[in-house]
Amino acid sequence: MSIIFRLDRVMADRKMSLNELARRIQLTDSNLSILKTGKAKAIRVLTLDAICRELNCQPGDLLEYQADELTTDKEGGGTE
Amino acid sequence: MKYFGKKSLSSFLSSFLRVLWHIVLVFSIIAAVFGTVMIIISSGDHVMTELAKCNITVPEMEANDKDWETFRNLPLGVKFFIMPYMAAVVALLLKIITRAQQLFSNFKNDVVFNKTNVHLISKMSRLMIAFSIVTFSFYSLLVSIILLMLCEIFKSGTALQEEHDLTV
Repeated sequence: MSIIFRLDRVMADRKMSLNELARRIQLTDSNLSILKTGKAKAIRVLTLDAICRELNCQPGDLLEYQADELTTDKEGGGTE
Repeated sequence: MKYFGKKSLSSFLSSFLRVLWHIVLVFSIIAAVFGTVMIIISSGDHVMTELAKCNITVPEMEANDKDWETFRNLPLGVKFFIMPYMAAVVALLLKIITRAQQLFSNFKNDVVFNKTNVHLISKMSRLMIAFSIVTFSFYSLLVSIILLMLCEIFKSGTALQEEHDLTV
């Protein structure tokens, strides 16, 4: 997937542990771990809202788009 | 009525299929022994002639006289071919029962939309197709087609379940 969740980076900046954040946003550790490791297929707006509130950040700080190699090749092929 | 979980229909079917598996196995062993004896008797031909001489006749035997005659007149090679054929049918039946029992056991443990179940249903449908070919049964073929459709439904269900599980 091209979307990378930068939760670990923001958490490190705020010096907050996974357990602490999970407790604050009332999510299980395993679910937050799924989010952190990038295994999640979807995220609820409610969850995003809670994370942004607790980490005092914007959704854009948490999400990052990185084009896949396949997508890059396609784009490159089109311009040549 | 509860369909999944403990003390449910799935739980009952799982136990029932486990018992059925043993019953089929015991009956097939008895049939194998009885079948071998029948083949030996029919090829020897002494016992039936002796019975006829002594006028010992069993009513059921009289009724099945024609079948017995047909069986007795079969070549020995054909008679011995019946045994592996029956063994194949029983083996297929036992495998199908095992898969079904595993499936209902998973349902009993509340594991419904899972890759293992999709795999089990797919295997069951393939075994059912083989069973219908071996036994020339149209109904088995119909069941196998229904199972194949059910497999596709379970595949979609598993994908949805996975998506749900990975939604945070």
